[in-house]
Amino acid sequence: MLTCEVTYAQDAWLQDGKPGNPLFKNSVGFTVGTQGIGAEVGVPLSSRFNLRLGTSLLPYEGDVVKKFNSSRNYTNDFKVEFMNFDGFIDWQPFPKAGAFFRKLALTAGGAYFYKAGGTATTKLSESYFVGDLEFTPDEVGEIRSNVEWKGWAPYVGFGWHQVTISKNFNLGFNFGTYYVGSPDVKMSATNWLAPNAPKNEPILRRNLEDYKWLPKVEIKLNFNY
Amino acid sequence: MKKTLYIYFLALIAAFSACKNPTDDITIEVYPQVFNYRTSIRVKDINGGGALPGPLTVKIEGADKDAVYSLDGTKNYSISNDGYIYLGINPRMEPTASHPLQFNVKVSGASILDVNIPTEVTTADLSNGVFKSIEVLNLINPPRGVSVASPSVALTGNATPATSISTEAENGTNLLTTLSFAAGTQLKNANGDVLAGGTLNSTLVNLDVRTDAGIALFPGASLTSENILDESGNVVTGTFDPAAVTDILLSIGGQNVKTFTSPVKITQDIDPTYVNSATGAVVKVGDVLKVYSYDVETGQFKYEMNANVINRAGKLAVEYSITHLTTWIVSNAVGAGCSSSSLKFTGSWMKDNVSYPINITVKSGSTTVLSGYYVNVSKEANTINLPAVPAGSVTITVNEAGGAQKQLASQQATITCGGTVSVALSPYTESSQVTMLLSVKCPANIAAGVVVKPTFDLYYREHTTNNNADFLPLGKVVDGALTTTILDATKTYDFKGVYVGNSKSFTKVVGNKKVVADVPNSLNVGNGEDPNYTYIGSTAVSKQNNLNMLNDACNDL
Repeated sequence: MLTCEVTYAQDAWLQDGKPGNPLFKNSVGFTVGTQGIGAEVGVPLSSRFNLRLGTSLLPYEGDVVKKFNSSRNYTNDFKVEFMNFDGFIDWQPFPKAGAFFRKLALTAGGAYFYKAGGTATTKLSESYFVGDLEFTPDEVGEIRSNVEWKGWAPYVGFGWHQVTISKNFNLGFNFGTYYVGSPDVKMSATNWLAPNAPKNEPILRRNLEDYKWLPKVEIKLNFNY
Repeated sequence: MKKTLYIYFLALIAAFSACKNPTDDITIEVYPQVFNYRTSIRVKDINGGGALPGPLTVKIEGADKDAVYSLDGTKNYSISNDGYIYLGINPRMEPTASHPLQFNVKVSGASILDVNIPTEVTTADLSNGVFKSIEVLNLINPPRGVSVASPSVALTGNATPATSISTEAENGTNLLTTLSFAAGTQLKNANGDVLAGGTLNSTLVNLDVRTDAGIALFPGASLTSENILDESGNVVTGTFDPAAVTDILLSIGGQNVKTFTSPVKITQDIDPTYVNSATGAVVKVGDVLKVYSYDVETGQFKYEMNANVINRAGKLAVEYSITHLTTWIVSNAVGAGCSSSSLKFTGSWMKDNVSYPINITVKSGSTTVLSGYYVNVSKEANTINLPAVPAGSVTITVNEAGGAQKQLASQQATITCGGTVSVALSPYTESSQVTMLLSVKCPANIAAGVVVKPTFDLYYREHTTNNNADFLPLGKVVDGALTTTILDATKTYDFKGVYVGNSKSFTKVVGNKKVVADVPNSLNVGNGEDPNYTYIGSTAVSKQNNLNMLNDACNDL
């Protein structure tokens, strides 16, 4: 009994009258993670529930060289864009636990992706020769692949919140996944690469059909007010 | 509670790791369609027969020679075993409306009379290409109307005695040509060096212009040329009306003679029925005719001199002195010729997007000035540029290029330079629509399911035993598909595909095939592992050859 009293003496009291530390506070913050950069606002709904509303943006460009089962190198210039508005409910399952588990929250919610996908433009890396005649990669043609998820996506995950770094500033971590479903896949090609599009589009669609889960790993910096 | 949480975490991880690599099994191939403009020239022995007397070499000359490539993208031109020369135009140097491409295809060999074929590629040739059929003289098998003689002269001190050499009356012609050397005449090569040797060898070819062969073998394969250097030194287009044609080749010790230290007298019998356009009457002693030389290297005719008609042993002839060797042509004034006229074909029966191969013949009077001129016309592309033909009144005859070769039109017309003659075609012998589909499965990619649908030029001819007929252009197979109404489902055909890869081009002939109307005529080719893609061939050897070709083609991808 004494032990209990000592333990609870370090805790506050939850609004429902049970002992424990409430995790959530009014907050605003920035996020960085697999969904890019973003911003969010947190509002406690009760002693153990929290509402977060936010948005995130991920623009990414790059290139990679692959052979695609041929003897030639092809350069893929790709551009990935994810943009969404999201809303989450966090639930604090262990309000009475030690600091590590007390700051853990399980999360459910969803997002509306108004952009989610990418395009890749594939061209020969070097010129193509027919005898003495040289043809540039642009003359040979290009393959454009477009992959797109769009619309509403539910989310489940977990995270740590209110990891204090100063009086009003704290860090948070979110891990989870959106269910985005199978993407729309479209492929088109020009010039001497044109026959590749109808041939490879169903293969790419097949390869991406299991890409239904969009993972989210995120760190956030919040200000409590 | 914590156990539930761990399961929850594991489920998330499993969901993320179940995905395939997005690029698995994706194969990218290049399907080169290098040449938008193509030319195929069939070279055949005018006297018939199978293989050409070889070896033959092909050379491209002329103003636009830089634009011309063999189908493997190199400048290594060749003639196939069945006598075809396939050429493509560099896509960066294609013809424009204001600049058609002009070049000369020279075919030479020890056993033939060298030919230089002026060739023009215009914007009208974009879809169907240019096809020409050229006949050459096999020196050891001359046709009626052509005499070939190979007399030799013993030299003393590298010089001739006073002597003459002559063609002979043979092969239905009694027109002779005689070369007379003055004593002490020495002979020089193209560098002007006197040739040393004990024997002067010769090949004298006399064409009797009264015969079809004599006209067909006229230099440049046409009586009309755009490359005539006239008396004023101007290059003009004109049409010859030849009275005599002689090609002379002399050599000493394997080196060709080009010039002499003393002029050599040449006497050419002429057609006694020849009408001299200068007098409007049949030629007679005392008439003056013009003499032209022809350089097979450049394809240029050059006015050399006038010559009087004489009586030689009861036959009309011309006699003059020459200082160099070449082909010598006696003709009266060269008539006007046009290289910028065109024909427009009409026919309400023409279907949309269907090509109709036709063969055009143009006659000036009774002289055929253009024959074996094959083109494809369609409702969409119904105008073609004519090669050089005489200006003025001509007879234009159009026949179907293949099959029964039904006559579609025969009309009098007036050719004007830059003008267009409208030719109404009667209905073509069309068969039901035939679609041909070809898919190729590369052996190395069977598992990946890679199927190639090639693009290539397809030629056809009706199949007969010992067939030596021309393969005529049927069209371009694009992505493995071609639709035509030219083929008759009741007949059998030989097909020839000419494929251009990235490192080579090759042809494939499939003989004695029937097509089926209204349903796709599919041919799936593979190495047999996939039962739907068997490899074709009637014998083990031909199957292996086809498989090797398939492997080569697939390695090319």
